[in-house]
This record gives sequence, structure tokens and C-alpha cells, in this order.
Amino acid sequence: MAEVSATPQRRSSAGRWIVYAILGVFVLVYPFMRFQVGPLQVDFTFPYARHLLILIFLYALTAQAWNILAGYCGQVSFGHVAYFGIGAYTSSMLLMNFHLTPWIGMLAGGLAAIALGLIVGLPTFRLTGHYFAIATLAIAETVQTIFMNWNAAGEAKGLWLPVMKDSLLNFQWKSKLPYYYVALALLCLVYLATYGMERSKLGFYFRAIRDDAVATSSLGVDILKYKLVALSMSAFFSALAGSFYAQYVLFIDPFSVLHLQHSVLVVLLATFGGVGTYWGPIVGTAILVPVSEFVRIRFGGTGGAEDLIVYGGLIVLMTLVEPAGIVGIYRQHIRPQLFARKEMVDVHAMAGEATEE
Amino acid sequence: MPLLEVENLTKTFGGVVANKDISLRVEEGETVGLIGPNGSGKTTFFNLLSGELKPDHGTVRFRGEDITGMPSHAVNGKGIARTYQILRPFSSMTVLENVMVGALPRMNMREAAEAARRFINLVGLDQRTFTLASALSTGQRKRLELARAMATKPKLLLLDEVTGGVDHKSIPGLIALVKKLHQEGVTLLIIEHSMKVVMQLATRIVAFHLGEKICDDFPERVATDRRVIQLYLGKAYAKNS
Amino acid sequence: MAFFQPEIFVQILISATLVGLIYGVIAAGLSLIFGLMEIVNFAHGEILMWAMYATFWLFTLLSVDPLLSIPVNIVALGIFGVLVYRGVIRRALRGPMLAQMVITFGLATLLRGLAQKLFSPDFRIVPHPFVEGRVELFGVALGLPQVVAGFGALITFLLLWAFITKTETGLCLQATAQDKQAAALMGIDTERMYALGWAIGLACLGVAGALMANYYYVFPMVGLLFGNISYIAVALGGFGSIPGALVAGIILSLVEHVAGWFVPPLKYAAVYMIYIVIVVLRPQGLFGRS
Repeated sequence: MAEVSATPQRRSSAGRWIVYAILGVFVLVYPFMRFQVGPLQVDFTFPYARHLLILIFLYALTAQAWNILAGYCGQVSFGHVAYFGIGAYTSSMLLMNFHLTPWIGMLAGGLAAIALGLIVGLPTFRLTGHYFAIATLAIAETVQTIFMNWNAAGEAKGLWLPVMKDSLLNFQWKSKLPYYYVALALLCLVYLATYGMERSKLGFYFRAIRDDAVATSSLGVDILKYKLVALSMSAFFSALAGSFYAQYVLFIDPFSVLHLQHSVLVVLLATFGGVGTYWGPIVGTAILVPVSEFVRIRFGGTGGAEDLIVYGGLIVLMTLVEPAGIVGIYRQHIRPQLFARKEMVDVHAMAGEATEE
Repeated sequence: MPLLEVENLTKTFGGVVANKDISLRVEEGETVGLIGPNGSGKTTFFNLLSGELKPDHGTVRFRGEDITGMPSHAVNGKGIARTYQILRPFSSMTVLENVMVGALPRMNMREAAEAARRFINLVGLDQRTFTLASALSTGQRKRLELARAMATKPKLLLLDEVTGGVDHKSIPGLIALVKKLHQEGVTLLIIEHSMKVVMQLATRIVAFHLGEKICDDFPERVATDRRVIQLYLGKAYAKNS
Repeated sequence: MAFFQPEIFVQILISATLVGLIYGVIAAGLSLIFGLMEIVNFAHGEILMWAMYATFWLFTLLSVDPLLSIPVNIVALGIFGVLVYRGVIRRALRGPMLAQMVITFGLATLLRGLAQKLFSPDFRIVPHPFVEGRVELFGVALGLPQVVAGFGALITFLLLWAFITKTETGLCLQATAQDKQAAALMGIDTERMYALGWAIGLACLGVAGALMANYYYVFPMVGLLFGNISYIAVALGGFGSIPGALVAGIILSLVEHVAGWFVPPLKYAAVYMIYIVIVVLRPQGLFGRS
């Protein structure tokens, strides 16, 4: 961690905003990009190119959702797939049994995930560190077992969602293009929520709980309540991702949406990018997913699992080199003197701070 | 009505009786010193008062209200704050953010930032307002804990070994700071090892030994109390006072 | 619902104990590592899986019976343990707790991916090992491999326990686990103790893997199931308590087998739930330091 004095300079953040703007425009027009520059031919209009970014958006969404609870609030969960799966199953079962539009189903899934989170969080949040992490594992495995034996949920065979007419209401399209923008919108949603959280009392309480829960409680903060808030936010967005997945793939089963591997992957993606940081999850995902896809396509053969090798190998390397992830590398080596976080700048403005140094 | 009224407070861990039938009264405006050798139960006592531990028997009354067994965040809401012997700063946050965490439960962000600035100035850390807590020295971290605890607007402040681990030169500054805090209108209950410090600050001294209260009196009388001297003050000090 | 018949009940009890002993020796290795350096080796299940594969390949390629591969596995996994510690874990110890958790997760993922890539997802089995067939124990018919595995696990555990409590090196291990700084000040090479801890912890997996290969399917995902159970056993027994790990392993196995008799598909859910129930009532586990 940088031990520098974190006095912010009123540096020109114009540079940063320009980068954001360029990335934003790129992401918005990406699915339509098709051009030729000399010998270089670029075509992102075909399905796989769009699918790749959809995967990135989807995983970044789940990684950031996890990051809210584990990175900001310090409660490391290894069972996040439970919320993803509940989102997927809730919206799918509501669609198949009650013809409810998946948009409402998605919200219902989010609420169901929050409900599970509260039921689970209340008894387990008093556990510390490793005991808590393993409890989250136990819960997720239990949820998977339940769905594997639940008749109405298709048991181990899973659910095939009905193919319906292309429409917004049906949340189904033949082309990948609408899915692209929905995924992007959901990702923006979780990032907006994180942005708001960072600047609010929640952000302060979460980080304080992460750093020292006992001290936080002694200052009058109800740590159980705020842990549950973090968990609810985290579960909600994970469930949204699950519902999206269900509508995108149109098939879900306990192996695809409730498996431990998903929980592990979410942890690896967020940690590779930088746990507890704002951009960490998306940076980690944007690097790891394309790399693993590339390896899979280039070297893939019988047996598969190249993606596991890539994820596992890279995360071991990253943790050895810089436990704070890509963002940590950026902060330590590329911009060590500017270790000023956004929320601190606002706080200084609020406290009437005039720039010094 | 006394500010704090403790009756027969008892806490046992396994086979060890950490606190045995402790009864104590603290009036508003006092500075009560709590002395005793290591292991005499002083920090356990603080933990029982602040709500981090639940007593086995006994009651704690604060401003007439029974707060026995309340969780620590609720106890703080009632007006009791504390610092820790082994410091607990929020390492990933700046001094300002640390103190704001204390203020935020009672006010909005803007007010909390202002209040935090005031307390940071009060403890003399204004030069370090935007420094990460992990980059502070021990003495600075002590001041940070004071500012953070004060930001919760307590009526009673429990200070656990506030001069512990601090170099000699910095101690008078800390003592002056504690006196300043007292003038802000906070009643103090302080655990201290150093008799010199206690004698400068306390209007009354309570002595613990093996989990029991053995003395509760004015400083001069405690210093000459035979039991206290026998146990750990040392004959030299008693002769000199 | 099944009728409650005494013979079946005894069979469940004995089977459960035998399996529980295996869970226990797996968890004991994990607990040893945690007791030393406060790291949960989340790759424990995957390393067990590799031990099982090692046994399988030794049998398939070199006709080495699983029982005979026990010493080979112990040496191989002991060395692997030292390598993992020196190469990966030691560096991670200097970082935050989350990094330590994540690095073993990464290792687990890597090991699982490699196994799947190299050996394919096919289920393998050792046909006709030296120990096969059925045997009668206390009037109940049981599989011989399971009985041998159970006793093998028990013997391994007793040897481990004797080593830890009766030998000088074992006492050094305990000292390092209780207070690394004090141990170092007393002249104990704590680095060596850490590496030794990993060597022993993974060697236990070598034994367990060889014993299990006698009767269990070998496939890349097998590590997940036994890994999960071992993490839960260690937490249930209390992190760092080696006898706790054994007791917890047996308890979990009993729950699994009894639940498996009444509601077979939900038996693992029962195991996970028992952990939650017990640890909520007793947050430090059965024998853990609070």
C-alpha cells in the first residue's frame, strides 16, 4: 500500500476524463465497427465479437457486485454463485410458469437474492474471516443441492427457456446486438451504484468495517446492519447478472448457474484487477476474459479447461507479483504520487479545503 | 445522579475471574484514574462498559439508564466512547476520513467533515489531515483515536493507556491534550500505567488487583494506601509523595 | 422412509466412521498448515485429486498397486508441498489475507484445469487392486477397500499425532504454530517448520489419495467434493486443531451417511447445514481457540 501523504493536488483530471470519454464512445459504437485501415481489417459486427464483450460486461457485473461486499466492506464470500443462480432461476421459473416478463422477473430475482442474503447474513456475519468464508461456501453448495433436487426447477436436467418472439418485453432477440446494450446498461448500473455508495455514508462505513469492525462499532455504527446492506447490494446485482444470463443463453441448470467454479471465477477476476478498487473488477475482467478466450480458441482441443488454466495460472502470478492487482500496479508504479481517490477530493471540497503543496 | 453507576460487575473467562463484583460511581466532570498491574482486569472492565463484552452478573447504569449488555454501537449512541490500548486506526483511510466515521452516525456528510476538521485541529493533527492512517507515527495514531472518539460527542470517554508506547517527550503534550478534552465537557475514565501521568490528571483514583477493586479514593490517599503500595507502587514512590 | 433395522444402522455407523477417518486425515493435514501460518489451503481438494491420479497412473502404467504407491505418494507429495510453500505460499504470506486465500484458489483452478486438459474429464478407476471384495466386520458386510482405507487413515492420523506430540521436530512444529516469533527466538528454524508443515499436510493427501483410489472414481472434479468437506471439517473442528479435524471429519461423515439413508439426494446439504448450525452456536468451532 502506498504510504504517501494523500494530499490531492488539484491536478488536471482532464486527461482522465478524455480516456473515459474515448472508452465510452468505443464501447457504444463497438458492435457496429467495421472498417479497414491499410492492411488491417476490423470487423466487430459478427456475433462472436459481440459475444466476447457481452461476456466481459456480464462477468464484470458479477465481479463488481462481489467487490462491493468483499472489497469495500471486507466480507470475503466464496459462495456468490448462489445469488447469481437464484436470479437466473427466479426469472426463468416466473417466465415459464406465469408468463411474467423477464424484466420483472429480474427484479424479483434480485429481491429473492436479497432475501437469501439476509437469511444467511444474520447468523453468519458474527463469524470471522475464514469461518465466514467457508460458511458462504456451505450455503452456496446447499443452494445448488436444493435446486438439483427441486422438481419444479428441472432438477439436474435444468430448464430450457421457451424461444419467443424478438421483443424488448420478452427480453429475447435473435441478434446479439440488443443483449450487448442491455449488458452494458446493467454494468453501468452497478458502477453507478458503487459510485454513489463510495461517496455516501455507506462507503465510509463499509471501509471502516473492513479495516476494523470492532473500532467501527465502538463509534456508534451498527456493523451488522451495514454488512447486511453491503450484502444486499452485492446479492441484488449478482442476481441481475443471473437473470440476464438465463435470457441470453436460454438454458440454465445447477451446473451452469450454481456451480462453485463461478464463485471462484468472480473472486479471481476481481482480485486480478484489484479488490476494493473502483475499476479493478472491470479491468481484471477485460484482461482475463479475452486472454482465456484466445487461449481456448488457439490451443483448445479435447478436454477443454484451457480457461481454467489461464485464470488459475494468471491469478497465481498476479498474487505473487502484486496482491493489489492491476490497479495496484498502476497506483504503485505508474502514478505513485497521485494516490488520491475520488471520494477524498470531494471530501476536501466539502471541508472547504484549499489546495496546498 | 451519577453519570456512571456500576454495581457488582462480574466477568469470568474459563477459569479466570477477570472482574469480580466491581462497583463504582463516576460523577459528571470527574477524571477518574484506573490503575493496577497487568492482568488486574482494567481493560476487561472497559470492554464491559463499552459493550464489547457482556458481563456475567452486575449492572451498568449510564445517566440513570440501564445499559448492561447493550452492544457497543448502542452504548456509543448513549454517550460513551473509548480508545484502545492496542490502537485500531482505519489504515486504508486518511485522518480526516477516520474521524468522520465517528461523526457520521450523528450528522450528514458536510457537517461531519466540518466537525472532523475541528477535532483534528483540537488534537493537533491538522498538518496530517489527508495522510493515510497507516503512515502515522504511534503518537499521531493516539491523537487520531482521541479525535475519532471525540467526534462521537461522548459524555464519558474511556481512555485505555493513552500514554502507553509513547516517547517521554511527547507525554506532556498528550497530558495537556487530555486536559483540553476534559475542558470540552467530557468526563474521563482513564487506565494508566504511569503514576506520574495519573497524578497529574485524576481527581480520583481507583485501583484494581486480580479483578477486584481494592481502593477508590483521592489521589493523595491512594498513593499512601498501604495495600496499594504493598502491591505495586513501590515503597520509593510512597515515601516521595 | 426406511424401516429402522439394527443391522443397517450398525452398517451405516461403521461405514460412516471409516469414511469419516478419511475425511479426518485429509482435514488434519489442512489444519496443520492452518495452525502454522493461518492459511486455508483452498487447493487441498485438487491436490488430493492429483494424488489419486498419481496412484491411478502408477497402477496403469507401471502396475504399481495403490497400496504400494503410498510411500511413493508420501514422498512425491511431500516434495510438492515444499515446492508449493517455497514457490507460491511464502511470498503470499507477506501480503493481505485476501491475497493468501485467493492464491490457493488460483492454484486449485490451475490444478483442476491441468488435470482436465491432460487426463480428460473421463472417470477412471483402478480395476482389481490388491484390496478388493468384501469382508465382514462386527457382523456387517463391508467393502474391503473401504475398511483398509479407514484403518489406513486411522494409522496415518495416529502416526501424525505421535510425531507432533512426541518427537522433538513435532514439538518444534507446535511451538511455531503457537508463536512464530518466540519459536524463532528459541532457535527453531521457522522457515523449515513452515515447509515441513506443507510437506506433511500434503503427504497426508498422498496417503488418502492412494487409499481412496482403491475404490473411488478418479476424475478432475473429485477434488471439489472432498475439498469442500475438508474445509468444513477443519472449520467445524476449529481451525488449527488436529484432533478437532478428525472428530469433525467423523461427525460430518455420520451426518452424511445418516442423511443419506433417509434423504439420499440431500445428504451433502445436511453436511453443509450442520456446519452452519454448529459454528453459529460456537463461532470458534468445536476445539478452536476463541
